Amino acid sequence: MVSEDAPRLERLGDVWVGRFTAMASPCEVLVDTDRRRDAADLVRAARAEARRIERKFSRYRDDSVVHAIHAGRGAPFEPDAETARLLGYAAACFELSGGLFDVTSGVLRRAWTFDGAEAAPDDARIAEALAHVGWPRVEWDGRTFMLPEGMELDFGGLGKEYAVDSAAALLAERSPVACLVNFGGDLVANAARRDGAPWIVGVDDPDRTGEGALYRIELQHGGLATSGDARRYVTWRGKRLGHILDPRTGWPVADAPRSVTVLSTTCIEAGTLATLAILQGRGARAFLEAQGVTGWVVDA
Amino acid sequence: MQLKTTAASATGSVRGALRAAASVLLAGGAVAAVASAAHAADAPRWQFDSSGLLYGELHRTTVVEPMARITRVFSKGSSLTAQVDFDAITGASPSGAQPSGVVQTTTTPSGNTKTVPAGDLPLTDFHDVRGAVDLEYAQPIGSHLTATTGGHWSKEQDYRSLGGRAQLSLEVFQRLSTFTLGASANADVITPLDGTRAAFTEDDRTGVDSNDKHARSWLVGTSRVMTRRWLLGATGTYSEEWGYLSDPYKVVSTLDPVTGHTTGALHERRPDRRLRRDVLVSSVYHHTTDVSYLSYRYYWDDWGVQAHTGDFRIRHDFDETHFVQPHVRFSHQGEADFYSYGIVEGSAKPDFATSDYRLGMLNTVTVGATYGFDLASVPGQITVRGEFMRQWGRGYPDVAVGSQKTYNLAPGVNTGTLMLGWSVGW
Repeated sequence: MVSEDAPRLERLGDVWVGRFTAMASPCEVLVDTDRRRDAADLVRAARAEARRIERKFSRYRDDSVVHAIHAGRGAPFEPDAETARLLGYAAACFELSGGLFDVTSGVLRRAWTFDGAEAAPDDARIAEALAHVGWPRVEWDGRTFMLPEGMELDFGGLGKEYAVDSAAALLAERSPVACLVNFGGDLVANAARRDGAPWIVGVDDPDRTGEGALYRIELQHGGLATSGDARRYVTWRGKRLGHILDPRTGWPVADAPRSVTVLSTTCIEAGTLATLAILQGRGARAFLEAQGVTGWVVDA
Repeated sequence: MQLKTTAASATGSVRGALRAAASVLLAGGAVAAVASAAHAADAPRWQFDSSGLLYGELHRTTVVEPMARITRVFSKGSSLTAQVDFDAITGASPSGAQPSGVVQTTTTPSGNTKTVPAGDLPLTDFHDVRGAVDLEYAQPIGSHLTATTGGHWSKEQDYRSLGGRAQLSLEVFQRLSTFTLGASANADVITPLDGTRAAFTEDDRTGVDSNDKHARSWLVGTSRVMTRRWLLGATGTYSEEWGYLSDPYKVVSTLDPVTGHTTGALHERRPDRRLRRDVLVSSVYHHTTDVSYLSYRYYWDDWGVQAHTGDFRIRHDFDETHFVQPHVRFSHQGEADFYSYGIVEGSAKPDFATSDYRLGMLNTVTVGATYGFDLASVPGQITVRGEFMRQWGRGYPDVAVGSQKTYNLAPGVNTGTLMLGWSVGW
């Protein structure tokens, strides 16, 4: 029996690999050390950080900050410093994307079921959902946050990447040992390995998840994140529509790539750029080029 | 269809603004921590290891050996290690004299005499303390080469050893292979407690107080990462020894050609040169959580001694706080060309002769285990190692004469070792 307190550790070459589940994703922490106890300490710290962030920002838990905001039904809310920073980042994303990246757009998803079936979107439902979407409708002055009743906040597009960066920074503060923190495919290397060799990261083919890497990326340090999900789509009039919704129209973004992977200094930056690229639809590749970003685009 | 887009030189406006927003989100401190981690890996640190070893042979030797080692790792990856050892040895060791049908009297290193009953193996009592200091400095040169130099000094009542060593290790093929070259030299002085006795005499003094013994050796090694889980290594060493290579306290019995009873004991005589070679092949395999170590060593020298040694250990971690590592070792050694069960009176005296059991045919089996654990109240890790060793030689050789045939000339010895260790790093 594996006790809750002991993360599963496996020796692979000259690193220890710790595995656990958090944020509904398989998580992996690679620790570049020979000392199992050091590795276990770091894996446990990373897991604690992932679960702390999950607990705090999950829409599905009744003890989360998000739940408290929703339960306030439009009442003014004074978030703690970390939540305030995340709201600030969400505001910046909205501005920089011209309204495409919107943490209030989660409501829209209820109008769609991305199970691959032929969907007949209900225009009335989409219109109703759109009435509860739109970052400009919230009030946020950096201290007090007000979310109109009926609207919802969803950090789903940011939380995992933020947790990766936060955990990696936490581990770097604890120990000089280099770690690769990977939460469900979004990852960051917090330092170069002790032998100077890069971390090797494989990116899956969205059509053949788990069957072999589409790319092998050498990472000294920095973040890597992927946006897009091959398994979540609907078909409409014979066209395959991905699950990335345009909060301005309520419809999936036309001609969106299947997935975009971006390499950047932090995981959250990589993840946001990948999402922004997908939201550009056919313009994903041009967007990455214009931003001077190293990325990989898999077309639909 | 996929395509990689490559970073253009100009940084886009969205990206720049996003990076600023991200650094605010990650509270500055966190991002700085990530950026500085690469440098933190070079941070200086300390490692301290210590152990206490208790070794006992039933009715024979007892050894108490405390050891302490401290390592300082400097910021550029160089390190300095200092180790201090102290041994206290008390007990008795076979003198080389054979059991006999008559009562025998032997002399101890300090000049006392000891009498053993008929049929018993004569042992020499001794008591000694030894102090040793070892220093080692390792320095990376560039990114692929490491130079290591070291030296040791040790002193006991009748023995002083001084040595130096140097080694170069090169990592190649993406660090999948390592090549090592090493050399060492030793200068020892043996000062028998009651003066040096002439070889093949009962008790004639040579008048020489101290005797020099020298050694130098060369080492060539390689290791290779075969798969993600498997590391294979091979090392060869070649050493030369010259000078006083005899043991000043060991004797060879003279035997009555008919009865086989001992008639006396002559101080042994060994050649004054020895060439030793050995080849070691080792494998480390990482299973899912266990790690197994397997090695085989073949040793041969120009005294005619050949030895095969196999060693197997497997480490199992229950969790990060405790592990167990069982250990088993087999060794078979053939006897030296001049190993003797006694010189028969009236026969031609050989050029060299020894009855030191360590140069005779010797089989050794060792079984043991190490258990490592943490105590919440003590930093670092504690290890306890227990080992049982059984050693036996050729007890009833064909060459035995007369009453010798009725005695076990190389009775088995059982020994136990208990070691307590404590390691901590900061």
